Amino acid sequence: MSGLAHLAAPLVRGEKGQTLRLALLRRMLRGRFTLVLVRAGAMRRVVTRPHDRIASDFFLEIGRRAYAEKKLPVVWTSIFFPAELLWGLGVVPFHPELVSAIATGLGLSSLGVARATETGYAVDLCTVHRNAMGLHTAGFYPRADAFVSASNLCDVAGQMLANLAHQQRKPFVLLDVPASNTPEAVDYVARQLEGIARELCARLQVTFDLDRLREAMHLSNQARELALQTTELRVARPSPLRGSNMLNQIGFIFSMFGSPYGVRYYHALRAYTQHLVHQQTPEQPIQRFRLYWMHVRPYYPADLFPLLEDERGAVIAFEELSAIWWPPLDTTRPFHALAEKVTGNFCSGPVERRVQRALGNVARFQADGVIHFNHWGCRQSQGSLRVVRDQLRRAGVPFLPIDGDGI
Amino acid sequence: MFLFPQRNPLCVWTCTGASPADRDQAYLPKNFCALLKVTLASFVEGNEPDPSLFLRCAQDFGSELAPSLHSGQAPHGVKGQALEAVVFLDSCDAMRRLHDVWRACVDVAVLAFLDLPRANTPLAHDYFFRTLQQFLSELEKHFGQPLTGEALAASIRAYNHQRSLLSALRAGRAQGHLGALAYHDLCRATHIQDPRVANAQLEAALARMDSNYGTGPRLLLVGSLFVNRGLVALLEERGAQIVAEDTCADGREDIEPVRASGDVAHMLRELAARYLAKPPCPRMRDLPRRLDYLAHLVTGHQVDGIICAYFKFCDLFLAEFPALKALGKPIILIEDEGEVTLSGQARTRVEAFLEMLG
Ligand code: SF4
Ligand code: SF4
Repeated sequence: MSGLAHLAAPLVRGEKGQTLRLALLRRMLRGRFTLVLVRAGAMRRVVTRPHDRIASDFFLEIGRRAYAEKKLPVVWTSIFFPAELLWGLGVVPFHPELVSAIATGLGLSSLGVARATETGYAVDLCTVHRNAMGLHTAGFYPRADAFVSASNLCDVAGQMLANLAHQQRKPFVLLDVPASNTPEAVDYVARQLEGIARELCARLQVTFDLDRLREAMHLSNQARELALQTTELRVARPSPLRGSNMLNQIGFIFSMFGSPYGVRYYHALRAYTQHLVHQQTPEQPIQRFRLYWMHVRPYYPADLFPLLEDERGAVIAFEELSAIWWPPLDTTRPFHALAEKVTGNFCSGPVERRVQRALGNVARFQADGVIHFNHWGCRQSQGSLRVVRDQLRRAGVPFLPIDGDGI
Repeated sequence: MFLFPQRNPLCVWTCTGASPADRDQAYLPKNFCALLKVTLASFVEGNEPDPSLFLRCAQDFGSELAPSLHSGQAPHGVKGQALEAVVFLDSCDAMRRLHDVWRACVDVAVLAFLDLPRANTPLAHDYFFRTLQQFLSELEKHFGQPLTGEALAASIRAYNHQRSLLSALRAGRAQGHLGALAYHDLCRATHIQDPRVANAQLEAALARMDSNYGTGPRLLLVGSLFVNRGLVALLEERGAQIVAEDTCADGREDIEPVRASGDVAHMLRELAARYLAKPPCPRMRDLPRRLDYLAHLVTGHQVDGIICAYFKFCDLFLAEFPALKALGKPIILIEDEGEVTLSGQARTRVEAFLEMLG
């Protein structure tokens, strides 16, 4: 994401007059060669870390297929819907929430949020979605051929996508994810996933190909393994990576898994991390304290990170949303495996799952304390903050909640 | 109805409430569902909870077995009796998190947290049926006795009758034969009383219907659990007519009669299917069906304007709101802070809206 922000910033800043700039940006996004040119040129100079280049490539590729090309159906999806299924169907997944965060890095969020308010979205709703809705209204989002959403963890996502689908007279499908992860719940989700796959194929005139789905899951498993190896490398002291750069992992974990980019990205990230560990050359030279970070981050350039990392020497050793929580996907039972992944998300269900994960990671990464970023408007992450705080403090873990807005 | 006699009340959780709250802030974030904040506050403050803060108790468990989003209601006789346990439903992000906070901060046990599907499909019916079945076995263990088919059938019949009475009263309200406030209070009372007592009151009210109320604009009220009583009072005072309401307590509870026959499992299946087929609320994300239903209310009742009265920070309803503009009628959004009375600002906005409607 940071790569894209760097790339587009000069485009946005370089023109005179906001209207002109925005019109230009809208046009460029849909230009057949723009994204190819951006990829070939500026990116190579601005984005230096190998995995960041792959991430930029990934998003530019999605952008190219969704904005400029008309070949494959574009399916807008909430972040918690299993991406492997969409890759496996051969459609282009587009994540409005992720692009909302990326656009924030590009300085577009004030426009997005203002537009959403004009269309009647209450100011108390999460800005990730309001920004997405506003940017769509302003013409910055691509076409959509269908909309899908998982119901767990974010009430707003499904509603926003349902609204858009209705507005555009396009299909909307909800994956109803129960809060529990009993075998019955897994079976219920698995059967829905199978139905959704068939429904999308029928409505988008795509052929269902079980081998393609298995291949996507196989790629997901490979990426998963590499991500786990990277996680293991991050246990090292000093911490090899600068945590503020890793707070975008949620975007990759929920969108890249199932595509070849996921494997390439985590392959590069693992190699890069391994190199830093072996060379004892951490990205963040001063490391006095180690932190575990919970929930999202501010996606705009925030003073918080230079203050924490460079001035105070606090290194974010690991992040809650970088965790790989699911077992390898059993490709012989694809829908069941994806259902297990979805229902097993430790942020769903009772808060104890989340607390246990936090305590485990605090111990594993030898964190001296925990920061929880309270993104305004996110009920699921903050609703039981009091319980998270009490349980961590009871275990002797210093806990700092920081109120803010990520967008 | 006493499905499990001789026991203390056991409550099914819901959105409900309305009493000033401050101390909940220590437990829940300040930008959290206003309804759940006031509800929690009444427990953590150690007050004897207002019966209207409860959903239907297990003794008249339900409606029947209370399988709806906000269904549930205060158990009769809760006042002065110790609560044994509560049951949560997976209604929304806020409710899930309240369930977490409740277990940590409130000294009343949670008997169960029930998955409630967001789909009206055979698959969802079956999942919900199995959830209810599992829940029933927990209830039976808790109460130390089995639920008989006769007891459940009697409960089903009582609630079928109640829904038909409410439907007749609703029609009376729409035709101006029953005051909006009187209807609102009767409707709320059904949620806190034994259905046999409540049904007798509804029958008496039905027999009394004869007066003429309101000649002003014809309104559709839309809300989550219920709308603020102060709002209903204001509308009545200003001569507006509430010709239709779409809330969990009024309108969306109007399901097809449930068949009270067969064994317990058969009736549970019936309940599961009927409740999931209710007029949908935003939680179901079934916008086409929801808009069709609301459009049917709008045209069927010649509605002049729509008032959406939502609890503040209720994501599901707030996120849906812009889509309701497609109904093509003047529409206003009032955010309810969970106070008993309507805020001055809300009053002013409602009055201006009524004036605009003429
Ligand atoms: S921050 Fe919370 S409310 Fe916002 S999009 Fe993410 S999960 Fe949903
Ligand atoms: S649906 Fe809305 S009003 Fe009901 S508990 Fe959830 S947030 Fe509160």
